[in-house]
Amino acid sequence: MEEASIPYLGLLAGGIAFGGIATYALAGVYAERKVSAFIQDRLGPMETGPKGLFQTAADILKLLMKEHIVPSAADKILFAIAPLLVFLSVFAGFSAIPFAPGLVTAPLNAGLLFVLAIISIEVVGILMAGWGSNNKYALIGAVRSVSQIISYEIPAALALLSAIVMTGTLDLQIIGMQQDGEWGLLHWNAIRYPHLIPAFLIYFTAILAETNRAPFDLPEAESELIAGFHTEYSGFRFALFMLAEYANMLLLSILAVLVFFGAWHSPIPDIPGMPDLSGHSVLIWISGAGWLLGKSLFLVILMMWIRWTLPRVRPDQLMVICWKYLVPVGLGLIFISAIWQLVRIYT
Amino acid sequence: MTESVLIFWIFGLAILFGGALVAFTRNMIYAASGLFLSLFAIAGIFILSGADFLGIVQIIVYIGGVLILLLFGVMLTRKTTGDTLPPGSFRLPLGIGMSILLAVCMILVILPGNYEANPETGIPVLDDGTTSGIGVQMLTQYLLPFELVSFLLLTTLVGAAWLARRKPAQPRNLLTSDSDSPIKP
Amino acid sequence: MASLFIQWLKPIGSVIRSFRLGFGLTWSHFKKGNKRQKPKGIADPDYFQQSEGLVTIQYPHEQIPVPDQGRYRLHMETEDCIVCDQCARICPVDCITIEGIKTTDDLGLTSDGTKKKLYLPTFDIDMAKCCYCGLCTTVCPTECLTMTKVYDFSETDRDAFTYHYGNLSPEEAKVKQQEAEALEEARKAAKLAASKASA
Repeated sequence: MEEASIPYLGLLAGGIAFGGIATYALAGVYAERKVSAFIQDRLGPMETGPKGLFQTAADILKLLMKEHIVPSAADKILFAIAPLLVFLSVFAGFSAIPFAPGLVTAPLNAGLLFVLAIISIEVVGILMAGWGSNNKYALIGAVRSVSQIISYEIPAALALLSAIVMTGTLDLQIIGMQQDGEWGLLHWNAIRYPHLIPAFLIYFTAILAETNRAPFDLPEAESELIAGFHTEYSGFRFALFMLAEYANMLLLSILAVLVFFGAWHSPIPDIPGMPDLSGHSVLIWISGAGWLLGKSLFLVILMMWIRWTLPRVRPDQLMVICWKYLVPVGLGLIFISAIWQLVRIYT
Repeated sequence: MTESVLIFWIFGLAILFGGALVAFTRNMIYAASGLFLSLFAIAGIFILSGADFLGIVQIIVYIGGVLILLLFGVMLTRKTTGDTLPPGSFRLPLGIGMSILLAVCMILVILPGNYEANPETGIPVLDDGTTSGIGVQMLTQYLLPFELVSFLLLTTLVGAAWLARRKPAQPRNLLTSDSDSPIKP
Repeated sequence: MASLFIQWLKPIGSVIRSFRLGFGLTWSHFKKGNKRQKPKGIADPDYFQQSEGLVTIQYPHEQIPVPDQGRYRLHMETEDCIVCDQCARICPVDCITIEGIKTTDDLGLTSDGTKKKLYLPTFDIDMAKCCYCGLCTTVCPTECLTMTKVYDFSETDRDAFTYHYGNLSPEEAKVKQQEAEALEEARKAAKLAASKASA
């Protein structure tokens, strides 16, 4: 590979990633509507295309053609920047994700930390959106959202930390490769180190709050705040917020799969007679990315199921869950991880 | 090579632009946004120089922590729009003096350092900028400062929790205080 | 201290219980997502049964059968109308407009044997106003005004809701009107003559 071609490959990868995320978001919104419909004994979208398959595509087309309404009292510059910042922060997080051994745009040796860090930029965008809209509901929503995201970053980080103590590296590629083995499922971090299952539960709870999804959707509580920080947004900018929400769900789910559930490895133990993929790097990439995305999408569907099952928590419950339950348990899990490593070193 | 230099220049100009925005705008939120741009671009330069751990920590601490706190404070205390800082120069000579002092200090620190240029990019690279290097250094050579800082942070955490705790309820006198009794005569 | 710890543990049990209940409930509905409710009418014995699976009926494509005695859109059998004007008078929302023209022509009998004495140039029912009370159908002496089971008759133009049941075209109505006026003149003249003669 020529050195000069690397940035252009990066641009190409970015383009592919954007296309993939946009397609995934279309499918995700459709799935969300269908899941909610089936849970509520409805049919969901049925008219546009077979079984309503093109409904979300039609919706996004509508959003793209709509007028950008900017409230006259809004701060025009911040109002315009905010959705871009929110989306770009999530989008940048994908650059550090290895989809298969070697299939990663930015092989950082602190990739896991990078994803967590880049997501925290989203908070700035949300604050800008809420403040720039000059709308009381948007501001309240933004303040709620930010306080919630900042609080839940801590249990999420603690849960990941307890896994990192076990893996001994922040490099997502190495974390993924460590979980390889002939016994499939048994080599996954959550199975190898059973105390990581509660760690995953903590992480999963925390990412529900970080993506502002039910039961932690206080920032967008329709009954009291209209739509929270994106109340004033319309058209393409609103679409960007939706895209960011779904992309964030996928990104954090991918992170969970990478760290806890065997990354790109299949759960099936090696069976003699299975085709040997070694040597065919493209085939390895396809199967690896397939397993990784499949497991992540399962988590995304789980998040949808949770959304349509649990009612919204109260703000005081939100804080109690975070500070009185998730954080102490997370600290305890790190302690267990540390003892485990000590025992491993001295035996 | 040329791309790396180009990216370096982009980040460098972003730092300068953000800093200038902080210094010259009268709108508090624009100042905070300028700070965001500046801090983010510094993180970019760190990562470009191979110190990715430092860059990431820069984002987590300065953008995820300090800047958010700052924005929070500004947004909750100021009117939404049209509220700007009063014109006029506050202690201009002192500011200029401080800036010059800071610049001299930084030059004194930066100049004597030995920087080996990365042969690939031609950009100076710090060795041991990576995660494990920093970790080993922190737990061997700099163990005492590290533990002192962690003790300080623990103290602030406990202090914050103590300040935010619910005050113990005053013993209620049923005869005198009827303000919070559910049934009023 | 120990009691504080127990207090801390307490909610966990109820959380797990409510999770099991909630997710069990939503899952039990979700897994029936492949079943559909069939559109069934009121005559169906299971009409009031709680249906399994999705309850939505995709209306224009699927419709619940309406019983034959459904009382929705009004229908008028012009041949049977004797232009008695009772329906127009009882209508609480005044949606029926009737004009009659007297005539000596033989208009025949209605299907129940009543003699028709008037032409019917205008019998307009404005279904946009109709409140489906059915009073007009009860007062109609010849049972020519009835309600049908047609309920989906939306229109894009409000005037299209006015149904015309008159049996004369405007030109014919004009002719008949003149005939009726001539008849009236003749009758008046005859009456005058008769009163003169008796005086």
